[in-house]
Parts: sequence; C-alpha cells; structure tokens
Amino acid sequence: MLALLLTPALAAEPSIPFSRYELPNGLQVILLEDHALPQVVVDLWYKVGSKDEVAGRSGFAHLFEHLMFMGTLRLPGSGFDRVMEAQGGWNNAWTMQDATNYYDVGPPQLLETFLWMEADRMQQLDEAMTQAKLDLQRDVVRNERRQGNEDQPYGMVEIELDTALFPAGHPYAHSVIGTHEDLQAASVGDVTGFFNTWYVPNNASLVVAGDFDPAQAKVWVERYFGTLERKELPARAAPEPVRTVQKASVTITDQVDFPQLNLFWHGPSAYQAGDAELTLAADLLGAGESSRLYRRLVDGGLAQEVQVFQYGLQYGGIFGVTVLPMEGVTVEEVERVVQEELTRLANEAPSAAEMERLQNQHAIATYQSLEPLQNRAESLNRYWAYTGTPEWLGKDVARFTAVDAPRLSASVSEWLKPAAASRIVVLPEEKKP
Amino acid sequence: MIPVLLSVLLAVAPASARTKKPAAPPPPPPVEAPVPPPDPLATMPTVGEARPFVPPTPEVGALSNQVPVWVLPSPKLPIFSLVLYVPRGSQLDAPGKEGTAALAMEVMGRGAGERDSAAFSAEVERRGLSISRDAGPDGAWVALSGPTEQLQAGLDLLADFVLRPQFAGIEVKKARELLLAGLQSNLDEPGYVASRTGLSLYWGPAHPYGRPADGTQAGLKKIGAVDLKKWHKAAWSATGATLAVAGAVTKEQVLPMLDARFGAWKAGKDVKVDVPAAPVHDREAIYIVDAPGSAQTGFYVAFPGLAQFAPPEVATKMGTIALGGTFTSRLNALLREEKGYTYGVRAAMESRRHGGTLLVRTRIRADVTAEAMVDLVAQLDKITAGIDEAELKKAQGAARQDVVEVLETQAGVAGAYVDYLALGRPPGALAAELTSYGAVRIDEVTSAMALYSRQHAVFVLVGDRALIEPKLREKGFVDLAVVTPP
Repeated sequence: MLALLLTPALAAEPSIPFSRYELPNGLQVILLEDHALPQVVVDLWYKVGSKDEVAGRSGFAHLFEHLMFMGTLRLPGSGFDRVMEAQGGWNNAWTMQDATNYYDVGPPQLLETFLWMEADRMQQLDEAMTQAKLDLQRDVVRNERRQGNEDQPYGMVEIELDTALFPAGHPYAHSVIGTHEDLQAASVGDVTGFFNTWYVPNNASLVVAGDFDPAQAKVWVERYFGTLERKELPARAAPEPVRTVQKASVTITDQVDFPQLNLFWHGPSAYQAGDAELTLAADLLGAGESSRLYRRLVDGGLAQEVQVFQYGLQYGGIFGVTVLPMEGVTVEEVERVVQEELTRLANEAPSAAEMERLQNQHAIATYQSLEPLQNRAESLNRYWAYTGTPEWLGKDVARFTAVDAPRLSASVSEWLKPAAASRIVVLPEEKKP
Repeated sequence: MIPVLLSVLLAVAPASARTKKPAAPPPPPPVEAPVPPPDPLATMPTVGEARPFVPPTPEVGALSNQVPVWVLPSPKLPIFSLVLYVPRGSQLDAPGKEGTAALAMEVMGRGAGERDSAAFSAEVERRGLSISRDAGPDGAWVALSGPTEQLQAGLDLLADFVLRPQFAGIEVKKARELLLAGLQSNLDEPGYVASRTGLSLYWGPAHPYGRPADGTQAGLKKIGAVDLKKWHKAAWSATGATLAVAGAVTKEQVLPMLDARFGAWKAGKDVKVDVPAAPVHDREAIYIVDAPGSAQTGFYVAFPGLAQFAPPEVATKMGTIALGGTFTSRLNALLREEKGYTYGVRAAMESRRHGGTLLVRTRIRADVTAEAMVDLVAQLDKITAGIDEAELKKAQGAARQDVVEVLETQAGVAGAYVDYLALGRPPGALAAELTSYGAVRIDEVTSAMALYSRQHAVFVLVGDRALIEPKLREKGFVDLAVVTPP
C-alpha cells in the first residue's frame, strides 16, 4: 500500500552521509559534514548506563553523568560550561539503561574547543574529583528525582516499573534515577572507579557533525583523543532473556484527581526481531486520533488520554499502555477495552488502510527527525551502539516497510498476551480536609 | 602527573653530573633520555572569531485577498511545514465563557467539510500529514506538515478546517468533557498551578492575559456550539491573517495552491479588543498556593515586561539571558550549581502583543524554600545594576545560536515567520534581529535591567504551606497571602 500513496521522492531511503574510522585506542570516530547552517555538534556516546551499576548504587551512572561537568585539573570548576557558553555554545547529556550520551552544540569556531574539552575530561576527570563535588551533584540529582517523579503526577510509575518487570539482579531491575538511599551511599571512590572502568576510548563513539572541514577535524581528533589509553573492559555477560513479569499487579497512591491504568509487557530488544512490529502496533493502538484505542477510549468518552509505546533496549524491551480514565470511569472498564483491542489485533490482521497510515506516519516521522543536526549525530551513535555500525538508517527504514499486517498481528500475539502483563494502577490519595 | 618541563630536566640531570670527574677518560657522548612528546591536552586551544552569518530571507507573496505569504524553500528533505495565523484568540472569549477559543480550536479538527470527526482525522493521518492547532490571548494558529507530495491534499484538508468546520453538537460535547478533565488533571501539576495562578495575579483575573486561555470549569460548561460558531466567525477571517511555508516547495508552486483555497477567503470585521496595560504592583507581593506534602516548592515570579518587539527588547533579552537564560547564568549557577537547591532555574521574557512579563521559574527543595528565596531576591536586586562584558558576550552568543537552531527545522522557520508577519515586520527581520544582538551595548542593558525592581513583581509559591510559611516569615518575608488557583 505504501507505493500507492508515496512517490519515489519520499519512498526513497533517507540518508545521513558520513565517514568513519577508528583510532588505535579503539575510539570510534564518525564525521557528518553539513554546511547548511553555521553550527557544529560533538556527540559522545559511552556504552555504560544504569545496567552497569553494582548492587546498592542505583542511580550512579546518571549521578556520574552530572559529575562529568564539575571540572578537571586543566579546566576546573564550571569551566566546561563557561568556556563554551562564552561563545554561544551549550551542552547537555542524558543517561539511560544502556548508555550515557553527551553533546555539545555551538558555532563552528568552537569545534576544536569541544574536542579538547571532551578529551580532557575523558582523560583525567578522576584526578579532580572531590567529596564536595559529589555532595553537590547528589543534591541536584535528588532534586531531579523529586521534580520528575515524586512531585510529578503519576511520576512514581516509572520507578515501580523496573521491579515489576525484571527479577532482582537483572541489569534493568532498578530505575535509572535511583533511590535516595543509594545516591546517598555513593562515594568518591565509586566515582573514580566507575570513571576508570567505563570512560575509556574503546567504550565510546564520537560524532563530529555540521559546518567543519573534515581534514582539520581529523587532525584535532587525533591530537586530542589519540593519546588516551585503551583499557580492558570488564566482561559483561548478557542476562538470561526475561519473558515473565515479576509483579502481576501493583497499586500505588498519588496526589492526583484521577486514577491511572498502566499495563507493561516484556517486549523485543532494540533493533531485533519484533521491535519494528511492536513499534507499529503501538502506533496502531495509540498514535493519532484515528488510532484504535483513541477511537474507543478517548473518542468513546471513557478516557482523557491514552499512550502506547514499545521501548527496545539491549537486553530486552518494554511495551506499555497507559490510560487516564474520565471521571467516573474505572480502571477496570478501560482495561477491558485495552485487552479486547489487543486480543483483536492478535487475532485479526490490521486493514490495508491502517497499514497505509502506519507506514506513512512512520516515514514522515523519520524525515522530520533528521532535520536537527544533533538528532542526526545521535542517531549515528545509537546505530553504532545497538547494531555495531552507524550505517544503519537504510536498514532501519527497510525493517519498518517490511512489516506487513500478518507480521504485526503475529508479534502482538507472541508478546502481548493478556496474562503476561504487569498492571500498575495509581489511585488518588484521600483528599485532606 | 609530572609537568612536561620538569620531567625533561630530571631525565637529563644525571648525565650532566657525571662529566665533573677529572681523572676519568672522556666519557662517551651522553645517551639522551627520550623526551616525551608534549602533552597535546596541556593547553586549551584558543577560540577563533565567529564567521558572519546572514539568515535567509523568505520569498514574499500575497493571496488575491491580500493575505501575506512568506515562503522559505528548503529542498533537502521532501517535507514541508505551514502555519496560518489569525490575530484573534481568547481575547474574544466572552466574560463567563472562558475557554471558548480553546474549545473552538479543538472542535474545528473534529469534523470539517464533508468529513465527520473520524473521517477527517483518518484522512489526515492516512496521508502522513498532521494538523495541530491552538489559541492564545492574542491569536489562533493552525499548523500543517507532512510530505511535500501531499501538499495539495493537505491544503484541501486545511481549507476545510479553517473555512468549513462542522461544530457538530456531539463533538462539542465530547471536546468539552475532554477539556474539563484535562483542566482538572493539570491542576495536579505544580508548574501548571504556579503559571495559572501567577498569570491571574499579575494581570488580574479579568484581563485578557490574566484569564486562562484554556478556560475555567465554570466557563467551559456554559459554552455551546452557537458560541463556538460565533467565535469562529469573528476570529477566522482573512483580516490580519498571515501565512508562512517552509520546506521542499517554492513560492511559484505553493502560492497558486494557497490562492485557490484561501484567495477568496473574506475579510471580517476588524474586531478591536481592549487590552489594558498591566496593573501596577507597587509592593513585593508573595502568594502561596498550599500543596501539602510537596517535596518541592514551585516558584513563578513575574516582573512587568515588554510587548513583542517593544524597545528595549534586545537589551532586556541580553539581561534576561544573563540572569537565567543559560546553564551558567547567575540564578542557575547559584541555586543549582553552588547551593544544590534545585534541578534548574530559568528566566525568560514572555512578550505578547500588548504587554509582557519577565518570568523566573524554578522548583526548589521544600525544606530550603526560604533560603532559596533569600538568594533569589538578592540576585534579582543585583541584576538591576546591570551585567558585565563577559555576560553580554555570552548572551549575544546564546541569542545568535537560538536563531540558528530555529532555522534547523521547517516548523521552526514557519512559526517564526508567521510571528514576524503578524507584527508587520519586514522579510529581513530575522537578519536585522541578529545584527541588533551584536550591536547592543552594555549601558543599554544596564538601563533596561534597572527597571526590574522586585517591588513591582508578583511571587507565587506552590508548596507545603505548613513547612514553608514559618521559615519565610523568619527570613523577613511577612507580606504573604494564601490563594487558590483560578
């Protein structure tokens, strides 16, 4: 059906032209030239995330991410931010289960500085680490947890989710943000140990993107990153695949006016079989006003909103459905509709019109995601981290266009059995007089 | 680490010492210890000068009915983004029927032309298109985006949306129920509560900018299809409408397409709504919204600000960025990076057509609310004395980079252009704005920021009153009032 609607211009594979090489110390280097606007992006992806935390140190990978901005011997204090902001640059970072990603954005004249600063902290962040820095960022991260989870309506579902799905000891059995207790327990020794173990060139990939001269960039990359030492990485055994949830039902209370239903299943790993199918299934059920659950629940007057997602990770995935019922509608009522629609989708292949909608919406979303330079830089690193090569955009598009209606249904049947879900319900706290 | 120079000296010293023995035969030439290469990371590179940058200028056209159109062709990706704006929004909401514009915009997408709600959304989504819409106090807008090959079909749907909405009774009822539920849910969110309360307290509950654009429980319940049709007729006329398009299109392609659908769109009555000046707040007023058990206190601080593009807009923008517009800004550096009280704090200008505010927003750990308040007001007082050269340079760079990033996406370009058009700015406005960033002087920033006395500000704190109020009083903040959100 896709070809009926799309001309070759849009149906053609989108591309991100780049070149790549590897330094002798194992650092992956990817150069993405684009002179459309006067800006550059340096995106550094480290293959370390919350899955690599040891017991009793939940939240540490993310806390460490904050400490990466606290200065080195050569560039102490807030120098990292100060220097780049002085020229119009900015930066940010994020941590997830599998990875930590740092990116610097700014005008082209900052490129050499970006590269120097990233290499500087990759080489010697540990030598300038202090208890005061750790204490300060620990406070900031605990504030982040308060803002994003504890004081955020329904924000604790994200915290409950990990233990509901994964068994104790599994790399994903704790939240990325961590507990207050574990954050409090982190020491300077933990910081330097983590740094020396994981923040090494052979565990990272560097994308340089934007308005720059590749020959000059190569010289700078070699100069600043070339002397960093490769180190042996600890063996990381993949956990046994998990298909059974740990808690079939969890109920929590929150300062909210409406209850909320959350259903979570184990899903396929990122970029693996079933991932594209369940991503499209999530769209079929919950993306847009013509999606099945929107029509039945929201348009049907039973719910305020419905969200459906497939979140693929390295060692598995999470498929989730969240429904906020209308006043007077119970979570049981909306749950019945969700399960009916899942059963229907498992038993009956979607219509041709639905597949057309899914494919076209996915195609346009892919193109729109390629507009910001930083998105493109991060995509190349993500492909490298999950598939072993940054040259994967074409395959990524192809795996979605290859999903037909029977395959989509078969994946729903395989992964989203009604009894296989973990159900997390949020109930409003009793109102105080 | 041993510094490079010292390590070289240590390496050669022993060989030099051995040459002092008189009776010994001449020694062989000393074997030079290998000199380690210089540490390439020893010195941070210097940063070069910024290259000149002139933003692109749009192609300019107009429909047969004189609706102006700006087009920025960008052939790199086969997609487009379009925004259609009318300068009438929730300011037209009748008293007691707050939320009319918001509800009307929601229902306009729920059945238009020959298609009912389900058929309309199915047709939009089937083609890979998306239509988003909203209304604020000054105006309403609809944005269309998707594959360029679907532009014609998308414009047909957009024309139905704008010119032929159905306003079916059942859809009005459904949308109203959703907006009411959404409003109730939003009131659980501390940031939303702070903004909604702050707007009302700063502008006044009857002011077009103080009334909540998303409505009130009482107002939404009174609005029927007749009200929505009336609002639509008044708001969605060609009078003052503006159009901007960006993407893989040219003016020659898109203008006839637009004209075929909107060229005969009629002008309407030029509705004039009185938007009075903001009330003068002559003493520092602190309002608390009680949120028992909150782990954090939400802050919303509103100062009298500037209308869109009103002077000294650029100087104020630079001062605001220095105060709280970047990570190393004064407020974030102090409250997050030095004290650890918050995950972040930001200051920004919120400028509307007829007035504006300078806003500071943050979420502070509940038990240090009073301490943070002391630090916050000290910084607010200090900024009235101006900023230094380094801060100005930083602010100029940040503002320039913002312009570059707006130009990255077609939606960003179309949104910016339609704003410029609505305010009667020339096609070179973006370039002129960029030039003005570089030209602003430090004394102009100092003069601009001198006006931001906290005596004229409204402070709204959403938090656990039992925990925060006694400590605030201890710190000398005694002019406190407890309020509920409107």
